[in-house]
Amino acid sequence: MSIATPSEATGNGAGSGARARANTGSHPPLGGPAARFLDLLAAEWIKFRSVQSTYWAVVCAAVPSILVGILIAQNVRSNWANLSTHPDFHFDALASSFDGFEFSQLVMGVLGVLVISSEYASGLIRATIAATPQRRAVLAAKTVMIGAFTLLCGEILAFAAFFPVQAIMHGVGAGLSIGSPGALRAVLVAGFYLAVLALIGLAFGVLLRHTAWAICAVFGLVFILPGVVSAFPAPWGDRIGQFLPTDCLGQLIAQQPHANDLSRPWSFVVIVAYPVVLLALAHYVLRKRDA
Amino acid sequence: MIEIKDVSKRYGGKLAVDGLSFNVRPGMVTGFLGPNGAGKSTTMRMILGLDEPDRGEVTIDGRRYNEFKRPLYRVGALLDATAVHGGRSARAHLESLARSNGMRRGRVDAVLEQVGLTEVASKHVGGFSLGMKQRLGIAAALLGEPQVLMFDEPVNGLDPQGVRWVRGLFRSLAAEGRTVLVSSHLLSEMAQTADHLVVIGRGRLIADTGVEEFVEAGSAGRILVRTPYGGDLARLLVAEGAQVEQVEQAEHGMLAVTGVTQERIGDVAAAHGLAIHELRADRASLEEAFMELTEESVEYRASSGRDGSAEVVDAQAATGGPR
Repeated sequence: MSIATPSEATGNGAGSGARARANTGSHPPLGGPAARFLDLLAAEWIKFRSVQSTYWAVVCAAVPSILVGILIAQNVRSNWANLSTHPDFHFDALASSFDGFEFSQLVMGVLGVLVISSEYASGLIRATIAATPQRRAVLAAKTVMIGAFTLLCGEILAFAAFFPVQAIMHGVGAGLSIGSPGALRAVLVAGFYLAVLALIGLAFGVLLRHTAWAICAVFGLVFILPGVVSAFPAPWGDRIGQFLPTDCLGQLIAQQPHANDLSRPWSFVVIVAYPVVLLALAHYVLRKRDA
Repeated sequence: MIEIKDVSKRYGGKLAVDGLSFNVRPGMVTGFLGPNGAGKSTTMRMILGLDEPDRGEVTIDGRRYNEFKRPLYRVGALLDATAVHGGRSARAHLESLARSNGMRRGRVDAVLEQVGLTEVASKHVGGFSLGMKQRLGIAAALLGEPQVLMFDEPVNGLDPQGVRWVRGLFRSLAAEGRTVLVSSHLLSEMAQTADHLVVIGRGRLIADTGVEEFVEAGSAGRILVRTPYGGDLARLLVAEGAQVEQVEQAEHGMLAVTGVTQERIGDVAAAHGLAIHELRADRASLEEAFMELTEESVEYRASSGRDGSAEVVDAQAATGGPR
């Protein structure tokens, strides 16, 4: 499946790149050099799992993600007899599975922001960088840690959202199975997109250093900008809109692709490009700046 | 050994550190003194490679800090005790630092024990007093048993027992041959802890000297005389070319005399049959010396020009009184 390859490439790329950087110094570290990046990863994981906000975020992401889809599906099913006779009626059982994901997208973005902005807010960042002066390795470790965690959470949520909705829609014969055309793609992308938002959040956190501003930036990009762009005069609304992450996501989780948007492979490329470009900028800034 | 060579650092329009050079030697506690805003913390951040100097070079054992792969084994630092995540436990905070430098687990328990936080190790740091946070910060600095240690205002918020403990800790670290740099804006505190002083003001070096020499330079040869014949003695000493002032103290008058030696005062009094109940050098409180030396860099040059006529002052005794 085309989704798996680029997503793995992104994840591993950040990791092995950081490992190479962390070990190219002129002096050998005390102890074995090979364990270096794993140590940083473990340190980040200890920090991440030792604060309550992590657990709250997961709960806040999980509950609406699963519930909203179920509620909508119930609603559609109970009105199915009326709705399905309407000539304009169109129900995308695939995309509807993820109707509750908007909130979890925001939560994951906030989680990504907090991974770094909480350190700036408390001043802990100085202890972190004093312990590991290889700043880009620190950011790489944070990237891999939060990326892997939110990818795992995202995929679990995506599958957990998909099956109940389809089970409900089976009652009126509109349910899909995971083997249906595009179903697996949509589920995998919906989960992957949560990790993308966490990484966008992380990058904004590094660039802006303030929790509130970084969250504003994530919120603006994901939720405000689409509305603003759609208000642009034709054809600019569509021309610009197709490059927004939300449009690209919609393209990948819908049963039928929209004619006005980018092709599916390009949509995926654009989704991946957001965190890649922003994190590259964050790496550059972090190295130059006084801590 | 920390070497700071001609370092300058500017933030926006403000020159925080201005051509600063000094070394911090192993085997002793070096007090890093200056009023608030003198550039102490900036200098410490540059030692740790957190801030990049605009000019000059900072090295630790001949290397730039950023070259260290596992710096906690080389340099332990407490910059800001409050710079911890309030929702994290003390143990988790230390574990993440230890793990980032590939330390074995036992070190975290060892330093928690050493600073006396074992019982509260699993409590959230947010509920800690400032004194407990200082202990946690000191624990973090001790994790890698480094040869070089730096503490920025470590005594703030500590109770008297804590202060005594921390002094003993710094002394024992220095006695083990480690390099220990401790910053403070309280000179009296440093006098009881440090062997050597580096004093800065407005980002410039004011003094790099032993504690005793520093106090001497600040006390500037004032002599205190207690006598029931204050008026008579004062007249005689002024005739000798001394400056005399009445110090309001005790039931018998106390005179503060400058410009003549103790011996001369005693001789004059004896020659005229005036009884003297006390005759001693004014052991200027270290705070006064410090204020005098740091108030203006210019003033320091004036006072350093004076010949050191004051006696060698026992630093402990000098600060014992005012405290």
